[in-house]
Amino acid sequence: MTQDRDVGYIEAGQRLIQPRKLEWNQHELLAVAQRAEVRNTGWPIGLVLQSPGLAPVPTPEGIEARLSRYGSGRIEDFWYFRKDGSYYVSRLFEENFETPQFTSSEGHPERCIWFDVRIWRIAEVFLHSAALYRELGIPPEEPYVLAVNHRGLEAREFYVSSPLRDVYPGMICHSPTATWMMELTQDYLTSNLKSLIREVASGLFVLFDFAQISQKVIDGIVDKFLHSRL
Amino acid sequence: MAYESSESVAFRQRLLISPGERAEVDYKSSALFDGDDQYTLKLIRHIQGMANANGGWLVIGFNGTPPKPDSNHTDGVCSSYDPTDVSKRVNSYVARGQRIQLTVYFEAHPETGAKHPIIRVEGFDHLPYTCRSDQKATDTGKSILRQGAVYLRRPGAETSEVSTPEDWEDLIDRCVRLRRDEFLVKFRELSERMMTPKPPSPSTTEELSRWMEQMREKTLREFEEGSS
Repeated sequence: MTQDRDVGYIEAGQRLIQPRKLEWNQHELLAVAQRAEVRNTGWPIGLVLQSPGLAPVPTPEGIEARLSRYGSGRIEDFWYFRKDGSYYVSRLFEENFETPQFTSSEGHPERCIWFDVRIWRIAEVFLHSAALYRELGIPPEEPYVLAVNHRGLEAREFYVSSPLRDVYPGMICHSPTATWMMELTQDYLTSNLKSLIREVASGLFVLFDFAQISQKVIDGIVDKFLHSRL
Repeated sequence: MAYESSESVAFRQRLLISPGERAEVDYKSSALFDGDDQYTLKLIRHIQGMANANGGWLVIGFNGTPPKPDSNHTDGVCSSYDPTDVSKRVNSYVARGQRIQLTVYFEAHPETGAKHPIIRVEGFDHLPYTCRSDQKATDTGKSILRQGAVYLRRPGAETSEVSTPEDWEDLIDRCVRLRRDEFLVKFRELSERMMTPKPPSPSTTEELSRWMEQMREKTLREFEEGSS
């Protein structure tokens, strides 16, 4: 396994509990991936682009896509959709390369996570996972396993993207990863979206010297995400 | 539930030792379950009525009030209540698509040693049973079963067609209760699914973890090229 201490990213994987008798072909997977996009952000998780070099490509086992957001040639997103319905997506932390919106008198930490952006991404991952199986025609009560991991966390500082929110400085992560996995259904996810997001986010934040974000703040950020439409 | 221990031998023994007409338990005299004679057809009608009530028990080989072991009861009578044959015959007289659930036990009387067929009749779970065809008794010529009739066992072990408003109220009440129970079961299952997800099954978890690791290997190098 490649050492991923320096590369910070969120990754999610999902798999149906009951193996499919019928597999989906690459054409079907592509159509489903397009329909499953959650359009709450300008660059959604699992984005399907048409441009050559960025559009999904077929493989013997499914389809995959490598995405570069800023045209720099640097791959920031990767996803793979397998013919048995399994899906993997990983995205580099925006914190790695986006310019901070603000700098305090103490400066902006170079190596950090923005907790508000992390909440958005977690919310996207959840909604996208359910959308994929909905579009595949999986019944809403059919169980699947979803994993949401954050990697490359070690030595990152707990921070925020917006000057409108305060965090205590100096809260550093001492673990390389935060992992989460659960068996759930589309129904369960839809009914418990906020508590699931809180669970994943809290499991991530606590690794930063016990950082805690209140339920009210997390739910408020989730609400903002849910009302965002681009 | 009136008889939580109804499947136990002890309960069936009690039916033999302390016989008495009571709710959900009826005693019938000893006669062969065979052909289309009046006794057999009446028993079938009674089973339909019992299934349209709440189900119950029929103990064969007792007569009188209070019921006592019938002196005419023999092993030959007992063996005519073959469970498969009884079930087949009973269900040949209910509407197509319907099936009365019944179980036949053979229980030895602890005092006389005689074996008695004891028939457990389950109540309907969705729709009341309807009689499929007209049938006259071959021995008496009396009309016992009528096509389209819905029979109902009443207190006192009497069975007759549903006819009065009270009968219908009783039957409709039962249907409504069953539908409500069915709805509650579905609702509870749905709630459980939505509120209490299970921990992931190990095999799926392992397979997913293994695959994610492969995917990670595949992409990490590309990520590393442009990140810090």
